[in-house]
Amino acid sequence: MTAENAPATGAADGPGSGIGPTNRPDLVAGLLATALGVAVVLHVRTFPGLPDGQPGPALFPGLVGGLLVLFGLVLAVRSAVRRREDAAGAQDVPPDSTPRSRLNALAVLGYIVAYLLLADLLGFALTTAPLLFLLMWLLGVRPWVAALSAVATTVLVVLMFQQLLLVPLPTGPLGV
Amino acid sequence: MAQDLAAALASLADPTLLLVVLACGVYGLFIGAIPGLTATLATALLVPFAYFLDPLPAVASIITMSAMAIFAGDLPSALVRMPGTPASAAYTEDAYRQTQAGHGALVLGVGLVGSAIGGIVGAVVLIVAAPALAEFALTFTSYEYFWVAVLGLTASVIISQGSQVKGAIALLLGLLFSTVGIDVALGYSRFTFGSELLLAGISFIPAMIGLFGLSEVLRNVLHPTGRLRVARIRTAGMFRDTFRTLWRYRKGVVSGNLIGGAIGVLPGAGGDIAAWVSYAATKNASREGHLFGKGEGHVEPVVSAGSANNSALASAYVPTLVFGIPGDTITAILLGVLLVKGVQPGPELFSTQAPLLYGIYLIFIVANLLMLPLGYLAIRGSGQLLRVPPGVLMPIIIAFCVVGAFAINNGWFEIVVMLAFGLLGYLLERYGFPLAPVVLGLVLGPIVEKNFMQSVIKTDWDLLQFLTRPVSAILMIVTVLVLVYPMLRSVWPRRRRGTGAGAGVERAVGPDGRDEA
Repeated sequence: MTAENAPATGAADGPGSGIGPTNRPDLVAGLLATALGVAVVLHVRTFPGLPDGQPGPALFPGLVGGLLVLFGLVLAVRSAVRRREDAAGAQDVPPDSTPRSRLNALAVLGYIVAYLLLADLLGFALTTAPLLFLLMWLLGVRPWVAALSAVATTVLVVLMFQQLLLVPLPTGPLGV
Repeated sequence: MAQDLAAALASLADPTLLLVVLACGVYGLFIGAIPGLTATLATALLVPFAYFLDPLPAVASIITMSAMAIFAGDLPSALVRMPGTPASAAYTEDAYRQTQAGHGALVLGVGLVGSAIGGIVGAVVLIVAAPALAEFALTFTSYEYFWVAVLGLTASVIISQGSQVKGAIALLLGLLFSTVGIDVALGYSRFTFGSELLLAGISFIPAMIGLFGLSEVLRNVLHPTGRLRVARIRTAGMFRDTFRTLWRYRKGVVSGNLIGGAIGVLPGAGGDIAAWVSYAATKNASREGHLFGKGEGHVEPVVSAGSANNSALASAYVPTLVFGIPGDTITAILLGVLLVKGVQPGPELFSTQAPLLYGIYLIFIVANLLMLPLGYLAIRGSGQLLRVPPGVLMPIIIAFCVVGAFAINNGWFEIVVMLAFGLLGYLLERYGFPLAPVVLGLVLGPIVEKNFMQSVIKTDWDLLQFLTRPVSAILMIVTVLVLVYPMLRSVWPRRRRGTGAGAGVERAVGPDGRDEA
């Protein structure tokens, strides 16, 4: 929701918008939405109806699925006949990612996966502090700053959740 | 009423509450001041804490934090030419150019005092409008609630920024997610694919943490902003100049607050849209409009749009508390939390929970008054605030995302939900799909379905009841008008040269705001 307002490409624009190369991300997104809608519509056919023969659990998701097909197709078709500049959000595309920044994003996801795998085994503190240090270090923070921040954050979280809010965190050999 | 007010005043004396308010104020100022971290992210990260508090401190924490965050968004606007939150984006250029011209302290002072005024005016809108609407809403049955929820969904798409087709798809995704789990009519488990983990539905809080927390971190890490060059400002004599300027542009203060208060009430439209609309309106009305965004920039848009966003923030609580229909993404998350905690917002709240409501009113006033000293300190310390390296900040946010998602239910699966929604949120935003409709769909989907099913089962599928009940019919007509309005705009002759056909609010604003950006 970056408020850099892209001009809306509502159903309002006429053919005067011009025709140019296809806006590929919109085409793909539209087709994905359509496919999801079709899958939903097919799946809800297996849901049971109400005893009086009226549609029950299938009605609402079925309707949503149908509308997904409709709007997905609108988006796909529109992307094919519209210039790229007209596509909403096109002006808003952030600076391109670099191999380095993609690696960093993978590291962020890696933190979460590693936490899922390790926290039950090692407990919260022994998992979080090293993972935080690694992630900060990867993001270019000087090692001693990273180490200090990692430990401070871990202590802060333990104090806030375990002592203040009385929410249990995963425990390991250290008891925290 | 006096009794309830006294009870509310007494509850304010609770040291826990005061501590929560103070801590959340500082937290909001901090997150709001960091470019790329929004008030919605701050809300999503705050929710795991709010979840474990009593209802009043929980709501107070979110009110205080978001008010501060929306003001603090002005800090990096003026100092590094990057909006701290989207709500400041409309006047970032003007604020920065003013700073360059040596008026930095004035712009920030105007932003601070204007924000506090806006927050209080928004609260007054809430205090006056909410009880009156609630009395009216007491007569509502499942038919009317169905239409109110549908109206909220429709409005969220029509007002959503960018493409409305994409807004609609985002909304449908949210609605689809809301159908996961046990269904309301038969208790049949939908889309769980045999897994017990999804029986109760997609857990809302982890989904929000992913959608707004993780996704924003991913965006920041993938598209780093580089080193910030922070402009220096001198704050001596700041407040005297501020009040003189506010008085000089008092018309802008009034129009900004009116626009903000009105837009906040609309479901799904928050501070950012209020600021854009107010910016455009001020520019049209001002004799100095040609100076906006050029040369030295101009302080007038900061006066009006800077209070419009805070005003909208407060008035967004009107539909949230009266109908249970959120006014923006922050109140949508708050509503989700209240529902999980067993507080059902709606007109009954106004008779059964009056002390809680008066407490909420008072918190708005307290939070916005507290903003003046805290905000002043933030302006003084803004240089340091903006130098926190993202390499330290992003991992800390991730740690809180993970712990927050886990804490709600002590469940590992919640972390997986958070991860999935984080990826989804990043991708949606990257390709121009707004996130606000997803949240609204997720929150309102069950309300629409439950009220529809209740209505039709009650009357043996007499669908005419939806049209023939008077209030129901009016709400339906309004919904249809909201839907048809953009199409009508395109049929009518285009009045303004070169701005293209209109399609709702953002169309009226977009070109004006963008030309200057």
